[in-house]
Amino acid sequence: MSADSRDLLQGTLAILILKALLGGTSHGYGIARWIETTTDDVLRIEEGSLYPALRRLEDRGWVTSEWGLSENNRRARFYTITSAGRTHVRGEAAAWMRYSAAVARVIGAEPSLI
Amino acid sequence: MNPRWRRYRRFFGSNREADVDDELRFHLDMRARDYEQRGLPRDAAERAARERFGDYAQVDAALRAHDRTRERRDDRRRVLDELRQDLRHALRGLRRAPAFAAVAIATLALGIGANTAVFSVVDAVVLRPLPFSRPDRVTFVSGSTLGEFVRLRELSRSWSDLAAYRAASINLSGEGEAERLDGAITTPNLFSILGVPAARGRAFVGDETETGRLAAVVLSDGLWRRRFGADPSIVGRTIMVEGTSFEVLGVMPPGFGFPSRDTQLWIPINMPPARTGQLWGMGGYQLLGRLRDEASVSQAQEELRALYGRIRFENPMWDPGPDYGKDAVVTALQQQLVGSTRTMLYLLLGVVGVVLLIACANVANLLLVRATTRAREVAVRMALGGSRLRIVRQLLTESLVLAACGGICGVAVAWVGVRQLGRLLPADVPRLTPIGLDMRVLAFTSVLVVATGTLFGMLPALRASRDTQPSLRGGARNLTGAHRRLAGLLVSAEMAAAVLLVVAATLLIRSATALQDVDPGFRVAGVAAARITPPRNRITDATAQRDLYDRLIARVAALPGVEAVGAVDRLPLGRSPVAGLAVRVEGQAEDPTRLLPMADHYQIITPGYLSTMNVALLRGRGFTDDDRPGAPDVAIVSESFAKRFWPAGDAIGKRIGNPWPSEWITIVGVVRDTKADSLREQATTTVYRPFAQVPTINMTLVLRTSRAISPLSGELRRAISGVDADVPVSEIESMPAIVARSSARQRFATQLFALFAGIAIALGVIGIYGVMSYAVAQRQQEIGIRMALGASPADARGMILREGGRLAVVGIAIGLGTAAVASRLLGGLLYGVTATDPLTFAFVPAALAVVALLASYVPARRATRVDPTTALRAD
Repeated sequence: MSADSRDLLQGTLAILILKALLGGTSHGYGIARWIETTTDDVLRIEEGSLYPALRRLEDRGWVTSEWGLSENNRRARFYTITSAGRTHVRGEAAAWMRYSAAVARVIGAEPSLI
Repeated sequence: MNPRWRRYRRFFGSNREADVDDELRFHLDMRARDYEQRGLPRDAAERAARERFGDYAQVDAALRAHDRTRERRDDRRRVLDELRQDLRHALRGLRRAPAFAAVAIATLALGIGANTAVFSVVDAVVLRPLPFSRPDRVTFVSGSTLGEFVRLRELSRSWSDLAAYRAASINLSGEGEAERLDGAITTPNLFSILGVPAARGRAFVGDETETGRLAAVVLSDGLWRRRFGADPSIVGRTIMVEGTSFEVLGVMPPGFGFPSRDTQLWIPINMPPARTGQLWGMGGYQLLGRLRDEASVSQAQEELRALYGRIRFENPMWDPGPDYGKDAVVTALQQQLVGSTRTMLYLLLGVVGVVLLIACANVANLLLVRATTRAREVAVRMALGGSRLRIVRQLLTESLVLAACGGICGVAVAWVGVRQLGRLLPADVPRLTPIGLDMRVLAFTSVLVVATGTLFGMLPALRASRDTQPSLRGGARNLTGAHRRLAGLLVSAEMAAAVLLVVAATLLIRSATALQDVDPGFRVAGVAAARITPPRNRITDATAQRDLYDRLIARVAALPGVEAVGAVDRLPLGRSPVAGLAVRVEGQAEDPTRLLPMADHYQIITPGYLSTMNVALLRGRGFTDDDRPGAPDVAIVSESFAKRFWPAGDAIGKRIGNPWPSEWITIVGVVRDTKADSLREQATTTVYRPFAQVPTINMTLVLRTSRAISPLSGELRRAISGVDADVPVSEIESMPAIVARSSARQRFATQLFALFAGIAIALGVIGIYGVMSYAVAQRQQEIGIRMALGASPADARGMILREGGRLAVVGIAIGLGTAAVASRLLGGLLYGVTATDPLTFAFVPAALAVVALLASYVPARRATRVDPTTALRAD
């Protein structure tokens, strides 16, 4: 994987995680499930990569974490989005929308090029 | 910063690694359970979960590494945060208690300042390497004559080179007033041995002596600036040295001075051709060598002693005896220079160290008192979950802030102190490096600040953070007993330290008084001295010398108010030692090739000298104008000299001789012993010869007068330049000043010890006063009860006084014990008293006990004014 596409993927992953957390506090597995359901499992991310991504988000102050009990009474680490995280995800989401709309326009407008 | 995360982490502490594991396992288990619910068998579900997860080991390692880094960063941040908090807290606390802060800071400033000042002297004189190239390889070598020097230089293998030099007064004339300067006469290789090149031109390098280029001079930076206005074209110019033209070869860099910092110019030794007997008669030199890399000091010394055995019989003048050179030593330059000074300075450093300890004890006491009033605050904080470590750290921060403030003020104290010390420092203390507050000294001060802050802060901090339960339950009363015991201990320690210093100071003061009472054997009051150094090129022969001094003496004697005038070649107790001389004694030691007895001192005097100085004539006669060349050679000897060689008989008429084959000299008079080199000297054997028979060029005029010295000195200068304008006169000094200077080292030590002992007493008094006042304040209730039950005010007063007395007695006893051992360190500084002088050891404790009682008396009186009803209602 080239550095560029990993950056892209990491950025994407960050957006996905923050988006997932907008729905409420969740542990890592919950985030993975949310991504899976929401995207109809199209992205099929390696779930292990969620955790380093969460650490980085934590370092940037976009999420916080706390240990608690899971729905099946196990010790689990729960992540919560911060207000800085919310601001960030809103900005990023807008940029993504513009980006994907542009890509969609390109793809829709010139079918002959494919 | 993430507060929730922090709170969690502190709670769970160290299982950070297990957390990573837990989190990832939870994920795998949940995923596997999901697959299982969708119908996969258990093991297949687990496999699928792992597959979906990716590289477990890699993620696990990445998270662990990440968490470790984060923890370290958080720790750092937390420590800094807390430090900032503590600092703010400490400063706020000190602002709220300005009296406490002021007393503590002033006490510390005094202690730290004194230490800084003394250390700066110790550092410059003893510790700092000399400003020469690889100074540890430069050594002094026993030996004094040029004969020895030439042979050692040829034969020795341990040194790459040897130099011979001696300090000398050198006259500079032409272009302005003639002046006499501290200089050195040296073999040309001195500068290369020291490894210091000239700043302009060059130093002597090769063979100025051998090629006959004798007339060259090297100037110090100071002389070049002062006398020659920093003339850039000085090199190659001709200046008048000793009345002869000398070419300036070079100027040394600023700060360079050898053998002393004041040495202003160097001229090469006018050395006769090697291997002539004359070389062995030229003594008074010091030998300096640069050791080869492979040679050690002890090896060099071994070689030196062997070499002396070899050259023993090369001396054509006398046989130095079988022990010649057996005690020859090689010493590192620095060690040789600072030798006896080092002990004195270290003693002084010890003394200020003790003062600082006393200061620490005092501040610790203040902190204890403060800790009691703050016990409740501390207890509340600990009950709220503040760890003991955290609270100790916070209290220590306060101490360190105090110490730092004390340190900053201390540097100001030291800045003044260093100047005073520099002024007081005896002239004979070697100062090759300048004394001042530099980075090294400030680094020492910083260490001192941290050390003192920890020292006085630790005990109260540990104490304050312990046993906090009682202060939560009720007033601070339960704590005060323990605090008071600790405070009492500190006060006793202070008293002990004060006793130690006061004993030392008293011993020194008694020594100084004893030295003052020493009769030097000559008159001191009303005598003045002026050293005359005529230019050598004009006053060349004996006749000219006799003629010059005859005229000078006649002229000075005619000055109004001058009662008597004489001259001596070396003034007793003057700046340069009065050298001795080996003598032959008729019928006792006649063979000049054998080891001859030594006279301690040998002085050349004019007929007026003994009467001017009131040296008592015991038998025979003094010198007269008839004792001149052609007349029989005569001598006068001191009482001890006469007793030593003719213990039963009369020395008059006996004959002695120079240590080389020459005519006998008849003893015509016996005079009282005089102290020539130091007031401590005992039974000095001295030989006096008449100037007319053995004239010499440099003499010191002594005159007795009823007038003050300062108006006289102008007239004296005019009188002398009226005789010969080219004759420079050194500073005209009064004999009392000269005698005082001879014991300058003693006085220096005495003054400083007395000063520091005074500070110690003052701090000790403050300590006792503080603790007793506090005790009275804390025990108001108890005193109130006692008085309500019928105790009289006198009883209450007695109770407090007894407590203060007990603290003082314990301290004084410990102090006396320590002093009895430690006072031996004073050794060489004592005179006329023993290190365990009974009078001192009786007087000091008595005096300090009185002082201690007085310090407790004021608080004790306050105790009697306690009103029982108020006291009982308090709290």
